[in-house]
Amino acid sequence: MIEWEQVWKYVVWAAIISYFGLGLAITFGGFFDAIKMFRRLEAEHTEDQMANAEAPMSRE
Amino acid sequence: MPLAFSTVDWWIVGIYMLIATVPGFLCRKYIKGQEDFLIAGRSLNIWLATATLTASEMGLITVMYMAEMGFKIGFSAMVLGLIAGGATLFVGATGFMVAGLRRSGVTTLAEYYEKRYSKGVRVLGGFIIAVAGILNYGVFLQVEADFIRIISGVPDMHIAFGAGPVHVIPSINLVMSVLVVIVLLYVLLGGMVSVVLTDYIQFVVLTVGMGLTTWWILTKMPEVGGMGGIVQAVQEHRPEYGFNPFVKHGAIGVGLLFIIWQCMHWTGSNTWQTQAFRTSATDSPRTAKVMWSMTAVNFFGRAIIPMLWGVAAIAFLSKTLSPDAFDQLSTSNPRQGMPMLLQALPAGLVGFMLAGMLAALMSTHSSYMLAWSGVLTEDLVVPITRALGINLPEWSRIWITRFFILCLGAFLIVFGLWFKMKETIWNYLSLTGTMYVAGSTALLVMGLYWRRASAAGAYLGLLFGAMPGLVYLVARILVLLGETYGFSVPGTVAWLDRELTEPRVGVISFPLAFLGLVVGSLASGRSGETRREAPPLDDQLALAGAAGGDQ
Repeated sequence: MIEWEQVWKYVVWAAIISYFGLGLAITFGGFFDAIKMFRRLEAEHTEDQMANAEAPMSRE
Repeated sequence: MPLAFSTVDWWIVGIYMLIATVPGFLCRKYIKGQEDFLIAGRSLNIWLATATLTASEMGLITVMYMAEMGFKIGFSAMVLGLIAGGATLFVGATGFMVAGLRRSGVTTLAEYYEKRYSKGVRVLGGFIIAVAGILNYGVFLQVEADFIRIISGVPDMHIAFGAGPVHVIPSINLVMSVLVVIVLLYVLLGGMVSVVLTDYIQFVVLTVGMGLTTWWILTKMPEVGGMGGIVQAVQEHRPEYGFNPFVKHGAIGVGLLFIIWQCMHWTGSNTWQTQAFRTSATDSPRTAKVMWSMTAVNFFGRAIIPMLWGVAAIAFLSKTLSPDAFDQLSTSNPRQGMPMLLQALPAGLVGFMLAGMLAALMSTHSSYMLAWSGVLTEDLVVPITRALGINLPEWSRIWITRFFILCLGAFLIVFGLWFKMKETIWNYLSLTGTMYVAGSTALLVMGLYWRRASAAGAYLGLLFGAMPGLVYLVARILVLLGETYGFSVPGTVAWLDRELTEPRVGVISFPLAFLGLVVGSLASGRSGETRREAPPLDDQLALAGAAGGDQ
């Protein structure tokens, strides 16, 4: 016989702990990932600008 | 009594909207081509990829339908969270489907259809994806408007032109229209790079808002009475079926058929275009696997926590409403239970919660707009124009995508705000979702793991997967038209409408899609994989399982 009331209590607390725990990790991890992504995008953007300045007629 | 939505709350919402949308506009300069616009140049690392997937998949609509289920059937509804988390963890841990999809290097799933099967399969797949997805998406605003109307208490507007009659305009229509315009602006200008950044900000706001709200509901609301009070309320108002998911009370409850359907649905739901996009946007198959493993926790939590609010609303509203009003709400409008509970949050917190929900709404809409407009452009317009001998340049594809985004915005306002939905939220969403997911799961799974899967089988798989849902919808619409205009529908249509319940449609759709694919492939006697030079099954599995050297 399954004690459903107990099962759902465990499920609720497991969800709260895991969801918000992971949320905290993603908040910090995502911050550094975003910085990395923008560094890469900025570098590509600068490269493109330099390439365009050197050879403006090469663009379509 | 519920507290009023105060000026402080409006300030919080306004400031948040400003903070969340500005970064999108600043990202314009990074958009060079369609790949940057749709999948951020495949540059997302694990944490950012997970944040953006979670934010886009945790919409206000999600909170509403999960909470509605919690309010209607009690704790039993949480079995959906267990299924969602378990199936997604299986996908993430094994790389089943997602690693192969990422390895294929496609932008959309229909693009995979072309690579693996044929151009015709891509066009048919794109058509089914677009129809099912847009029909699914079309009701979002309507449900979200209900939440915002209840939470904020926005009054209707009365407008008179000169001495003419006074026109009453529900203000929420105007608010939602303005919201769509803001979403359109930053999606159109920034594409996926801005969506990724905005998603991250929204993820943080939403997580904090949900955490504070859950803490307040469980500890600061005497009417709810903590977990003990919630359990007691379910025992009283949702006896037996509120705890045991295998028990049904008439039509109310979860039931075995629903559980089987949902197990299949959630395993295949990574093929849902907005999620497949996120798989494509990761920087490697390994990141895709880790992202899906972490997303399992999010899918588990995003179901259970709003459901808990819905179940808590049973305890709260059974004590604050009259018995008749509570019963009426439970049977005729259960989606309003959770927003009525959140009305009782204190000033400041309710504004923060609304900001979080608007965050969820905006990230979902931006993601969906990109997904469906991307499908229409890449999977319908481009293949068709190519067949006509016209090769569309990259810039024109971006502008066509933007045109479709505008059309979707208009569709949302017209269909979403003025269309009256008859089905419950989850029934409608899961039904339209299954029309697409059944076929797409069959095509992706068999395409990756069965050499003999062919284009003929793919056509049958797609059609067979969509057919039960289509029959259900046509029968339902005909019956409703009959009721509205006073004509009687044929007996077969009435029988189909009565017998084809959503769980039955769902359970039929998946095996039918696989059956169609297998029968069509065997009958055609051609190996699509050989023709398309797809990598052998063993190689794909081995590569998908490899940890570091995927890329």
